[in-house]
Amino acid sequence: MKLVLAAALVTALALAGSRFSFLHLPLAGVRGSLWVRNILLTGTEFIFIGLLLGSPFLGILDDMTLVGLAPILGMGLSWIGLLFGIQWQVRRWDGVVRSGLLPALVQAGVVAVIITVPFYFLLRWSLDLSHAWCLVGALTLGAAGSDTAQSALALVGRSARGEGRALARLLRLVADLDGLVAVVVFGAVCWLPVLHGDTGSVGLWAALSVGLGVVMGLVVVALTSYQLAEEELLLVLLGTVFSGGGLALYLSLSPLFVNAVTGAVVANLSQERVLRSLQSLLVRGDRSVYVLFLLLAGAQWHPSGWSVLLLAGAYLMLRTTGKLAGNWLAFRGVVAPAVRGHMGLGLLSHGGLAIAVVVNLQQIHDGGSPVVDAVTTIVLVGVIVSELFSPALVWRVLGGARPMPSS
Amino acid sequence: MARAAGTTVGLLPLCLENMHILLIFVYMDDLVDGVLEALVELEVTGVTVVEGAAMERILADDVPIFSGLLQTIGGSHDKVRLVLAPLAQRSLVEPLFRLLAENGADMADPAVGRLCLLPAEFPEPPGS
Repeated sequence: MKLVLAAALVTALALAGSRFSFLHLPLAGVRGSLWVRNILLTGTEFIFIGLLLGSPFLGILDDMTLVGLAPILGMGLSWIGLLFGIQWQVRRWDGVVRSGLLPALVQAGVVAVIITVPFYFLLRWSLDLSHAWCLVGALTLGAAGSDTAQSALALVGRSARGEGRALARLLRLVADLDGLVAVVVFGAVCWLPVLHGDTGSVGLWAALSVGLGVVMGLVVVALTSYQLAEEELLLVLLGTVFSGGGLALYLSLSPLFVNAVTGAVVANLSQERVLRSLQSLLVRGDRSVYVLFLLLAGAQWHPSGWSVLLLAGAYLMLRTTGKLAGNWLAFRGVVAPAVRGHMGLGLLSHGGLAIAVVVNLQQIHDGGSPVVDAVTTIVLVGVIVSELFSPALVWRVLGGARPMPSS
Repeated sequence: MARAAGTTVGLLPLCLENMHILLIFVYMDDLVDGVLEALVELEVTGVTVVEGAAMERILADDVPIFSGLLQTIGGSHDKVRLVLAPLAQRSLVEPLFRLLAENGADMADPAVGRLCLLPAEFPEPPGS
């Protein structure tokens, strides 16, 4: 009974949250920072609502209930993966998008490396984990940190003027593309034998991962080659999400990665009209799924000791360094040096795929593992802090010497 | 408000008196073919399909979470198709409604689309 009530509550919150958050509100009376308003604009408050509903406080979403809600989370991960992959319709890309791909991936790759390497040693030292688990934790943090959330840029970018407008478009393009590194790196984490009871090899799990995604993609392409109404397309979509995602979770693979591969196959092999309809259906669930993830990530968050908060501080510093260095390196010869030096500050917005990666890790390896708790705390703190400051930083990078727009 | 990218099917009619411009706003992507089939069946020619975006969509300033790339490359969710056609015979409107409904594009449902007629004049070039 409690599970049913919890599911209903979470669904209601997700639907309500998708309507009342993420709205572009006039940024009234701002002078360089947005503080609490940022939280409400980007939906981050749902992490706290989830934490309140979780075991440490109200206990409505306790550990047993969360185990029961796992299929919903799996479905959500699959939905996000499919939505991510289905946008990679390479044949529709113009020269601007194509030319932005390599720099975006390079900057995300640099961030991933700058976070992963130190954190391997930090986790080893602070949590006394084995080599394999340190690798899992460090790579997960690298994956989460490499992604740029699109919220701050979307909120602030439209108000940019003059040269700032072109820079806003570039930053948005980078934010749109760099999620690929997060999805692939975390997909690779799930190939490590340690997550499969030390059975199999990296190559085997990689082949299964990619193969499952490709097969599901081909099934969708075949089914949608018939003239289907919207309701029938939705059925195909749900079937793909449940079967692909379910199989991936059963095999302890990343539903995010597997369904991203599925989405990419569908994007590049389907008829244009079918693809548009599928994209339209998937986008409608965009915000509801994200709010759901924020709630459940918060509910599964067991804030650890103070040492993990220090690790969160290190994560923020390394991520900022990585973004600055990555963009400086990736955009050499593309962007003027004066801009390139601080461009990375405009890409600090955090959320979206980072939350999805954390939730994916929680799904694959539950049971109160110290590495899962540490990674969850580090990323959630990173998201909360980043979303407080990133809109103001974006504004500064876009040349906003004047005050931000007021109502 | 529409940003136009149009496609024309067929030729303009020869009779230019008592003309109307038929406008059909189609809000559901998968119904465009049904609308065009209905017009072909009624032998309406000179049809143009224009792709646009609803005003609410433009003003909404939505914050994408996972679908930013779709916005960047111009993904076509929430697009509106506007079907324009010169109509010589006003009497075609009633059978058109019926055919559209049979093809799944029930214009009585505002979520599906809207149909309207505008009186139009097609002036002859001077000296002809």
